[in-house]
Amino acid sequence: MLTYVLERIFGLIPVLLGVSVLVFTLTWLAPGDPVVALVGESAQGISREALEDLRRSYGLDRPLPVQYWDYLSGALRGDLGRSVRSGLPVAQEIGMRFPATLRLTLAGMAVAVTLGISLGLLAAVYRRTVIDYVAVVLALIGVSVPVFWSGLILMIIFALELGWLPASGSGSWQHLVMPAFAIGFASSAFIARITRSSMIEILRNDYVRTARAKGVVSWRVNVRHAFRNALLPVVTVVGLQFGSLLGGAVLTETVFAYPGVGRMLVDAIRARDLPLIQGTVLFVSVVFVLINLVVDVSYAALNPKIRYE
Amino acid sequence: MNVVTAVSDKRAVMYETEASECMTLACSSITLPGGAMHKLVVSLCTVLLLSLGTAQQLTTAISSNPPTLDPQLTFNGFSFSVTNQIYETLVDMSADGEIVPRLATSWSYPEPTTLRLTLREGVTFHDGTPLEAEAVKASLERLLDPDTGAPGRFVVSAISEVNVIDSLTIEIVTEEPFAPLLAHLAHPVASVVPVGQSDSLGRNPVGTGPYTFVDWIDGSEVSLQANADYWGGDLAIEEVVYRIIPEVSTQIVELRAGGLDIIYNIPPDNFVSLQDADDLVTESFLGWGSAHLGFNTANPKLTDVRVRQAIAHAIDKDLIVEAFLQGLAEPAVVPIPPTVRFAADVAEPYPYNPEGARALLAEAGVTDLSLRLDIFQNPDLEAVAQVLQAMLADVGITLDIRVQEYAAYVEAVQSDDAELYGTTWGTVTLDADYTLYAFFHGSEIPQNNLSRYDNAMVSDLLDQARSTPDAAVRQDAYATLQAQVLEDMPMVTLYYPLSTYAKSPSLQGEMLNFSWINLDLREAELVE
Repeated sequence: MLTYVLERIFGLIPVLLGVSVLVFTLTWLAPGDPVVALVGESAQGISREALEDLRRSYGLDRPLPVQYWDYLSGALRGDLGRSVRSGLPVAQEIGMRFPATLRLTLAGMAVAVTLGISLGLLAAVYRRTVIDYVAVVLALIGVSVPVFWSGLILMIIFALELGWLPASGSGSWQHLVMPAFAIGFASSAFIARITRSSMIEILRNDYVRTARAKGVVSWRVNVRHAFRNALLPVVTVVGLQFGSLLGGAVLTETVFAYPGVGRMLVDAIRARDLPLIQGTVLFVSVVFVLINLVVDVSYAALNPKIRYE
Repeated sequence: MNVVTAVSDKRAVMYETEASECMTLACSSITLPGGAMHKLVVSLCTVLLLSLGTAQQLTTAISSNPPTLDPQLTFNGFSFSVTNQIYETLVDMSADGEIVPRLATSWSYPEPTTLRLTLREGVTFHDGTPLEAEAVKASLERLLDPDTGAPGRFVVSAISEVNVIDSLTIEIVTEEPFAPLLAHLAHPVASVVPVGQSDSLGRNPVGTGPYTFVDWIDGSEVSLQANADYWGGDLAIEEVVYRIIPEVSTQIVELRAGGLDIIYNIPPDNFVSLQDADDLVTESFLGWGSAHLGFNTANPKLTDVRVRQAIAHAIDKDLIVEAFLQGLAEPAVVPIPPTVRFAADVAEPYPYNPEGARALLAEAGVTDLSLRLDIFQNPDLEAVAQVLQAMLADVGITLDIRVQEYAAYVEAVQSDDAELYGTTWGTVTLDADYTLYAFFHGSEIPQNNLSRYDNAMVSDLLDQARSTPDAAVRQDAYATLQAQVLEDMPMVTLYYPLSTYAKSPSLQGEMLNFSWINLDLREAELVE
């Protein structure tokens, strides 16, 4: 098991190298002068000489391979460089934003898992009844409704009309409620669908019939015998959702003015702040890979038949 | 102390009564024996007295995290909107666009290339260091040093040296006489910063301005506090919080829920719906902005001035303003709005006239003209581009719109095969030179003169107007050259957008001139 975990962690190295090359190339392939993008559209009227001076001072006049090598050797020593726009170390920028993202992700996942698994279970157990249809429709709404709409509706109801929650921002648990529901609802849809189909699959098994034949109470069969075994694919989906929320809750963060990593990354991409883009994408990749590792390892705990050698 | 503004006044009244009762109690209890009770009452009173100060807190929103709070290291409006509260420039722009004293109290030109400024006495930075000539010199030199990497250095690049005359007098020397120098010194990049702390100003700004920096929660909010030692006197609003709220709809919900006191830069559609709200005050005013449809006059398709004039005749500016910008703009003639010094006031030489447009095209022998219009991502520009497409189709011109992000757009319109370009622009110095020189001087091709407009007479007049401080001479030169440009038609100026804001009626006395980045709270207060 330990060997397996270590192997996976070493496997991170080629992944991160690949990611860094990809980000670097993509940023450079984007049309337009990166210095113009960095200075921004408000600096209209800037002279050609001033732009060239800035290019030198940002170090963007060096050949591409040199820039990449400098970046890579810095990163290997743990120095992710400095954001061009703010002048701050990239690690510090990420450090300022990541706690908020982590809180939102955890709260969102709590909502998603509770809602998703409950809906999925109900739908499977009461298959082809009204409960099933209602659960499926709810899940469908969850995937289909964009968060910039549902977020605004939540805000109008709970902040403007009822005044129960702050409309936007961060800082207290109240601030987390609406954004957590907004992303949790969307993610719960995936979890509900997987839970439902996985449960239905398991409930067809012989041992479930045997258990029922032996007279085991119905809820006990559903929860202890079937649900545990149905969890495996659910854990995979939860892990994937968790990973994507960590880097990608951009819309939710934007609507609720929540200061997460996603919004920072979008701002950085708009301004082509290369060190910040690189650092953030690398960081999110590491987290993503680690979460997948945790998911894979938890399989073994959930199903003793799975062993890693 | 985080008191929400909407309730803070009521609460203050309550505290006032409680506190005065408490005072009486405390005073009488001083004579009483039994220390414990006494202690309790006194500490209770201290708490209440502290909250008695009616801490007026103003909360506003900007739609993006400012990249930095060092005004010299950015050219970002979100940064400037905050740094304008913390730092100050040598001179300022009054509501009617005149140059007025700020950190400098008076100025003169001993020579055409030398501007001598007298600094205000008794001004200190927020850390207590007095503002002296040396500090101003160091600040300007930091901005001018290419190694600083200041994106806004081009604003002051005319300056060749800064000399200290005495502790409160400096001289700014330019290579050539540069008439708009004072206007450029009023720009936020020319804010005076304490150079000794320049490495940390980005996150811990220190200026001389009315508000001092308290905290910046990245991506969430920047909070400021009234500067108790401000040279300009007491401030009614003691705390200012800039919340970072990207979505306009979220800002509107917050404003209506009382979480914000003022929002600005509101898109026309949203603004119109806010105008109907009884519990809000909305304002719109002419700023320094303008919107243009430019021609690459060097492109063979557009070298014939009749084709460009035909396009000008084909555009119904009134319709664009009324139907697509909800009336929140003024139809334009010259490239600079009337708020800008030396903007010419002339009648529209190309009124909407599709018949005339078709006739001009026929005269030029042009049929089946198909043109590409480059614009950058901007909701107003994208809407206007589609209207232009329909208007030009009416006179037989096919318009192909290409929307790109800004850097890609710049590359496209600076390349030789560019045809039409749409752009918005701000004459941020409120001096005609800033825009007219960039747009029409031969030396600015193709960096800013995207029309490749090269008229020797116009270039000469631009040089002449830039090099004399004589306002009458400048006035004449700019009047002549604006008329000439209209005739040569290198660009159609479509409209001057109005700046907008919406606020709670309790906010009074705020000044917001020319642009949302200029919110001035020195005379503002929150009243019940």
